[in-house]
Amino acid sequence: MSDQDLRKTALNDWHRARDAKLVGFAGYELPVTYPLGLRGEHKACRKAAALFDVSHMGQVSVTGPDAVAYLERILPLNCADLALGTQAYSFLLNAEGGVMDDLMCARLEDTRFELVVNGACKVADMAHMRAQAEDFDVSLEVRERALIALQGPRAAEALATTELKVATELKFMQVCEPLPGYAVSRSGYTGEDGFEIALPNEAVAAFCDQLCAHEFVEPAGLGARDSLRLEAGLCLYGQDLDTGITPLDASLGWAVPKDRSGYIGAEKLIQQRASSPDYALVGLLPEGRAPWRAGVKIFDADGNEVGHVTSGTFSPTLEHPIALARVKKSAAKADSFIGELRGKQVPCQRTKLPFVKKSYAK
Amino acid sequence: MAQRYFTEDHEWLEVDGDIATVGITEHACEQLGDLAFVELPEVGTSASKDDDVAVVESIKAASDIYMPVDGEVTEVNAPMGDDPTVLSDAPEGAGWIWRMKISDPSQLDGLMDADAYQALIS
Repeated sequence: MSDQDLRKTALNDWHRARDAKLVGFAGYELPVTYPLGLRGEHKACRKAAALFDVSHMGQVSVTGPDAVAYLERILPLNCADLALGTQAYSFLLNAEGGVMDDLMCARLEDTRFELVVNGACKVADMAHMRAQAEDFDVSLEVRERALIALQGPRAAEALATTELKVATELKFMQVCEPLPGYAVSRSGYTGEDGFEIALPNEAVAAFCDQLCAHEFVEPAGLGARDSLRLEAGLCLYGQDLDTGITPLDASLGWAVPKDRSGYIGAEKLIQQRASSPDYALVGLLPEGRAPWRAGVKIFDADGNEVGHVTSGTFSPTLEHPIALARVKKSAAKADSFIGELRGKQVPCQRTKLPFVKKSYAK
Repeated sequence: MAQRYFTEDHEWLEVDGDIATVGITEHACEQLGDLAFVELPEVGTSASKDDDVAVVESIKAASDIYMPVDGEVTEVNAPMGDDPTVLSDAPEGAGWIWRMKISDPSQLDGLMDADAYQALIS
């Protein structure tokens, strides 16, 4: 895809002015890193605050008398009981229970919900959502506005100096709309406390300047976003999640209510709950320093191939390689595995997730 | 007298007689970003031009490093295996990756000099 085909977010000039290294991602031109570098941006997030442009993601509002019934058809989520001003993690599933996308669903009014979906999936997601909406009295509207993520232990301190200060009263997974056209949730993809802020395209550059005027707030790119989320044990759609598996195969059963049925894909999930999922998602700590990347084959102690790495990197916080792997459920309790790395056999330990402890706001 | 050559894969070699010291360029290092790990070749490895013999891993991705000319690895920069900053602090000096015995000096004729490499990366 040529550079000319890439879409630009409202922060494109802002990124260029800060010497970001730009790459194509999900059809958009986005920063992978700024001059500070991946390691510095990653550490800034864990120590103070980092600011990410995530405007490539899809924002959809779902409104109407049938909003709850419609969303309960397309999501396993219990939308009827979702409290006003809260959001939940859920999935769009296909008829076989396979994951089409993972997303956040927020309830802003009794019959108005706001969804945030992955950038790479948003076109397919909208087609699916529109097709399913035909049987319900709902309207879907794509929100054309910017989305930024301010993450880190000092994120609230920075946000409190802006016109969105009221959002610092939010608890984890709560949402508010402090100004017309704005929405803020206390959530993120890093394992740190932080906020995801939707705001008008015309306002985002100035708002980011205001945040970055604090010397402790660093702009951060997709590179740091990936190493942060991996340390937090969070799945990336397209690597750890895909249509070939259910959420239970990715050890995400906590996000699939036990007391629901009637949603697309429910039969497979209910059947897996009754017997067993096919796979589990495990955390691995490889021996040595070489990172294990997606695709590395995983074997048990007897030499049987039991799975593969779905995401891996070198953790800047642990100064050690970390990886997520999809392994056969029957093999997933082993304490250790062997990985095949460039023809060599390398051992690893299985570890509980997250690799780095989370620090969400209470 | 030592002579420095460059390859299109952003590697440099400094040749003294039939021994070459090999590394990656400043430009390559900048492109890679923060390094996580260097997998050094094995001493004694004989390989041909363009065979991949080493790996430099940034946090984000792995980059294969190739034999610039045919030959045999005689020495590696061992401290780099535990500490990738040995490479990133001085990629064109103390951050050399391996030394090798060149088996076919005529292959050097096909490589770039400093000016040609500068032109490539401009």
